[in-house]
Amino acid sequence: MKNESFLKPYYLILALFICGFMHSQSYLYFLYESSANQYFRFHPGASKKMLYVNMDRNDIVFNSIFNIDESTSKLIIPSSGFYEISGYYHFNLNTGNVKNSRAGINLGFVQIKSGIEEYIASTRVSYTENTQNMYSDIYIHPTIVYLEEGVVIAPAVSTGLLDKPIVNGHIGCEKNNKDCISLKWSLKKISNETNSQKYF
Amino acid sequence: MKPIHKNIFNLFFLFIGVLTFAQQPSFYIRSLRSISMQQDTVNWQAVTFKDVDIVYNKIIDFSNQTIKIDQKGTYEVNGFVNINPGVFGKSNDSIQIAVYWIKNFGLPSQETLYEAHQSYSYGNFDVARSFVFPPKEFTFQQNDEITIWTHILPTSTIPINNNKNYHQINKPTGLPQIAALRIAEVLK
Repeated sequence: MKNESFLKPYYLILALFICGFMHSQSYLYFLYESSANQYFRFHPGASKKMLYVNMDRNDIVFNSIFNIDESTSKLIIPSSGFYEISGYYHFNLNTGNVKNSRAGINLGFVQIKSGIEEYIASTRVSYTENTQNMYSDIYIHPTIVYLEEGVVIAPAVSTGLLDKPIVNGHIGCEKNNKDCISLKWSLKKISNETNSQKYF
Repeated sequence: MKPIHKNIFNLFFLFIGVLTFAQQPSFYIRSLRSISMQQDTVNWQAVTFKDVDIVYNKIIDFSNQTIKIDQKGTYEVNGFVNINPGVFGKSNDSIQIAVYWIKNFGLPSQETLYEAHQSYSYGNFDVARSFVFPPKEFTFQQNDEITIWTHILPTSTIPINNNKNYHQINKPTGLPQIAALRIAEVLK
């Protein structure tokens, strides 16, 4: 009886502590929402060149994942674990160059690990004569990835398979809808488990 | 009177229980290898995954390449398949392909969860594009099975690349992604 009464309060305190800790983990979340404009040049054969989307601290809606201060220039994963990433681009290839020619464009999110840039979540769009000069909503739907502490995460687009140069690809809003959302993305930590992920 | 070791056991199980709860009940699988399609406008062709393709799994009974729901509930599903027919053609040619995400294929309870269509035309018969399944909620029963199918529609005027060494479901130029499926339990 003595043993039981000795342990019970510790039971409760420890359980509350663990619950509190896990609860705080479940709110490791980052949300970014922007109306900013940015132009991109896509060149045939440049499929390895990542074109990064500029971000603005003022467009961060919520952040309990990254350590960010005035000097921060990159979003660095602070602790290893499984994350769920998703996003959205309001994108216009903005050209008249695509006519019976290849125009595959990649949009998504990149991790930079040991200097190697690699898409961890992406959508491939193949533009045609009919879709080359209009805004469309490109979604990168929820993707679960294992991210290691220290890797850099960034929104990026790149040339896929392309025949002719595109010089004015545009993330942004229509002239009559300047406050639209041009880029939105979120990152949520879903587990602290340790693992590894070589391929995406 | 409880012996002290029983208390420690209980504490251990409580800790494991809370840890398990802290992990989001989801499933994510992506193909590590390209997948070949046949020129067949009648039959659907399965997109399958293997054990090593699993990235994260807390909810799915995955065995023999089947994706089965382990417990009745509400789930959000999304995914994609990247397909490149890998051919050339003439200016009036086209290839139509559909991708279906199906519950309980071949059973009376069969249901199409989502279907995505793409039409390839002159100039982009050999350019990959994503067939995308946007997130959508479903109620699943225990043992409901989710499968993915491609179908080359009979409206296509030319065949896909039939070289046995060519895989149509593949990494688009500049991307490492081939095909993936996410199932997440919706906690209400």
